Amino acid sequence: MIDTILKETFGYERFREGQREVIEDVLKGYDVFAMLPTGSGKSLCYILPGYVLDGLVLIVSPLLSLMEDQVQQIRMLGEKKVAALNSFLTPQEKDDVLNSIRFLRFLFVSPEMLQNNLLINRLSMLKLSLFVIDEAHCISQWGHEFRPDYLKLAQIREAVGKPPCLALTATANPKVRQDILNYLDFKDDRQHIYSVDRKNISLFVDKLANVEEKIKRTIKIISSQPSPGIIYCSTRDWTERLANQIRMKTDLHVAYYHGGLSSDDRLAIQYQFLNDQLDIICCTNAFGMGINKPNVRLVLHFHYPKHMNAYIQEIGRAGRDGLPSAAVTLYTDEDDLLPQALIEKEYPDQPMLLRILNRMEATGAKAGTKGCFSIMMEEGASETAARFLTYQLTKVFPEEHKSEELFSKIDQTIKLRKQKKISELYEVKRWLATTDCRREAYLNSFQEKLSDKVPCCCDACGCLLDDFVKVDPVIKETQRIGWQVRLRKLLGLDKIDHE
Amino acid sequence: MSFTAYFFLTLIHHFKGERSISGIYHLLKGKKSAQTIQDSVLFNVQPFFQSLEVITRQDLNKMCNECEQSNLIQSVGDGHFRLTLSGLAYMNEAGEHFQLPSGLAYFHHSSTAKRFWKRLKLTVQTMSNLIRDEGRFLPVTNDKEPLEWTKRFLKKAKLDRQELAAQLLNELQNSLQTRPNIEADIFVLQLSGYKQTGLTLMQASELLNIDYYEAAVLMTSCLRAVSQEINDGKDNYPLLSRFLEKSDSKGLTASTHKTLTFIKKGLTIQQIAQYRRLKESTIEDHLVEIAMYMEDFDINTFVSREVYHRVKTVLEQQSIKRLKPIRDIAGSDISYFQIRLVMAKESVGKHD
Ligand SMILES: [Zn+2]
Repeated sequence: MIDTILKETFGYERFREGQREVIEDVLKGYDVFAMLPTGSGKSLCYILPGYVLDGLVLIVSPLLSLMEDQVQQIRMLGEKKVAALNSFLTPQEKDDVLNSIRFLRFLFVSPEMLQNNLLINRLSMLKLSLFVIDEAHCISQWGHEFRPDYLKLAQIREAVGKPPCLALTATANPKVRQDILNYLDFKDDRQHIYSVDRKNISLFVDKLANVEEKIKRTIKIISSQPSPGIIYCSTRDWTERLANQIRMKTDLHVAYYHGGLSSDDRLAIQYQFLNDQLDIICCTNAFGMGINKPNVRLVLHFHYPKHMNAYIQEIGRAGRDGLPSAAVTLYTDEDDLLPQALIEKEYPDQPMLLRILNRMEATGAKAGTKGCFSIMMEEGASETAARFLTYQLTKVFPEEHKSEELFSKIDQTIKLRKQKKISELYEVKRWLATTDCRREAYLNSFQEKLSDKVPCCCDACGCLLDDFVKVDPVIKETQRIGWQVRLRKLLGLDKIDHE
Repeated sequence: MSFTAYFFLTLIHHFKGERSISGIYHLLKGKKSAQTIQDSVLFNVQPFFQSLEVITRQDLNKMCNECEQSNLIQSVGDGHFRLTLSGLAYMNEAGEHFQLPSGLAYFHHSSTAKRFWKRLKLTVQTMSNLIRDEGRFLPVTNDKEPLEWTKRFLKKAKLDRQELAAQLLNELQNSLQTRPNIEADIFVLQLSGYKQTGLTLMQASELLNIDYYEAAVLMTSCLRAVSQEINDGKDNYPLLSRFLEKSDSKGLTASTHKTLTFIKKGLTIQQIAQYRRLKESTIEDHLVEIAMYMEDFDINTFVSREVYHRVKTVLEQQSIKRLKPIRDIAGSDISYFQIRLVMAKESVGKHD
């Protein structure tokens, strides 16, 4: 039966690796943990059951940009009974969704929204067929986007009638996996673990003397490599600078993408990329989540990511069609400074922590209030740091009232967190510096073994970037044609060149 | 010399050092505050209101510094600037190469034009796909209003797809023909359709090889002028005139919205203030905001026709820049609140 649905609703002939096994267990009503590599069609594992099971499929999704894409993806199937609830909606829009909830087949929610009693109330009156946690690695203490709201997921699941649960992720080492199972209170569960290895992606790392060299090298690589390609930078500013350099020095179609653009502009750039109107996109890590473009040939890291997990996620956007693709990381010694500084900024330092606690005591400001938050900001805490501190004060140590005790406890936590992040950063640096097989090295960090040798594996195994031959560009020209012609092409039935 | 610098100097000239760079910033952004609206009328710069929404503070400050260093403007303290003599000469000379795009003058279509554009982008994309039997595509915006509107528009349309597309094409061609080619180019380059995503404004400016901010001003001009053209000849534009349909009260802040519901129930300003435990002046601010946001909001309850015309006549005498002298001339029976309401109405459209 699921084969018929696959064909009729989704237009696919065959399941991809892992999908059938996961879906069958979901349909049997087990709690399922599934780790499927990026680009393997994870979302099908909950969308398809939505057409078999009776009731609402609730999907907890950690990232807003991802949520919008997921909703769009389902709408593209012709499905209208889908909606998303997140803090970016206006009160009116939230009401609209809440009022139409019983007509929905799929509902996406952000973890914060699940703290909303009205929503829980509405949900508890409905029949939920499936409780999905997408990007489940986020709910682990060891995960990277960890938010306190995740800790209550099991409780919430209970409150809405304890429907079967499906936890999905692309990357989770054994420690993270165990954490997820604990938080979700999985009992009689089924686990499906597939390798994070993407065999059709060849890995390259290149160390350069300075930034100028790095820019030169980037331009040389994208000029000779097949496109389309994604270039990851660590700051918004760099995406713009690099895109400008590329525009000046090549005739490639290039655009930049980051969270500072308006939402319509972000969509436009994203669709241009999907439509093969761009060769290269320079972006921050805001780009890519949920984007399913099969023919990305190159992922280039102009700055290296903060941890191996992010690396795997990001290179996983290449070669989803199974064809040979390249992942290139370029780095210089200077690149080490920025990520360290970013980690420091995520937490208050000792004097700042002391100042904040003293002021709170003096003014009687209660943690969790707006006033207390502004005290933290006034003392120089970044927003992330202030949020971290608020969480520690309200959720972790709510009973502790002595300033000195509080200080030493929180300080201890900060030390541990920083240590963890820095050790992850070192893991990336070690990986960059390794002279052994890079694939084996990254699989090791996920406690996996390399099963069989890949033909064009990595630079350490003797694979050369030059083996990738540039083919004719796929790009459709945006030539300078007059507006009248362009308008007729859009709305007239004049035969269009690519028809 | 760039268009943007010319644009900036023109504004400095109009404000004559009486408003700060911040004031200019809010004017270009189209900040919906009583102060900004008031300024735009007082200094006769309504065409500039919301004419460059994409400007950043950083860029504006940069431009200001550059002009100051080239001795085109000089500080008169506290973020206020005036043109120097050489600045004035420079501006006049530049005025021979540049001119303000003519469409800016239709500033009362400012909010209509934005609404028009969002709906149009989506409808063109949808039609372009539908006539090729493509029902699955990713809409160019996630904004609810245009999505809902376009859905309703297509449902209500009496023509079949092909006829509808042909009619839309025809009306678009006719309306864009009234504009300079450069404006029409910028406009059309941003439209998406079947297997083709439109450019962002930034990309369009690069392709056409003009400054980004110039492109943005030209786009504003084009949208306002096209809105005006359609509005003037509704019979010639049976489809496009529907794209101008008024929006409801969405867009007001929650608190202002509350005031509006009370007003609709017939409560007086005093009653609302008492009930909501707010100052009367706050409620008055809300009403000024409503008056400029909702084109069909009737201010007759607060300002009689006779008073309206008296204030308007005084406003048209450009020399007056402050509320007090306006009141002195128009008559002390008129309140400042009434003057502000008239200004709000005058800034968004005509009222008689
Ligand atoms: Zn290798």
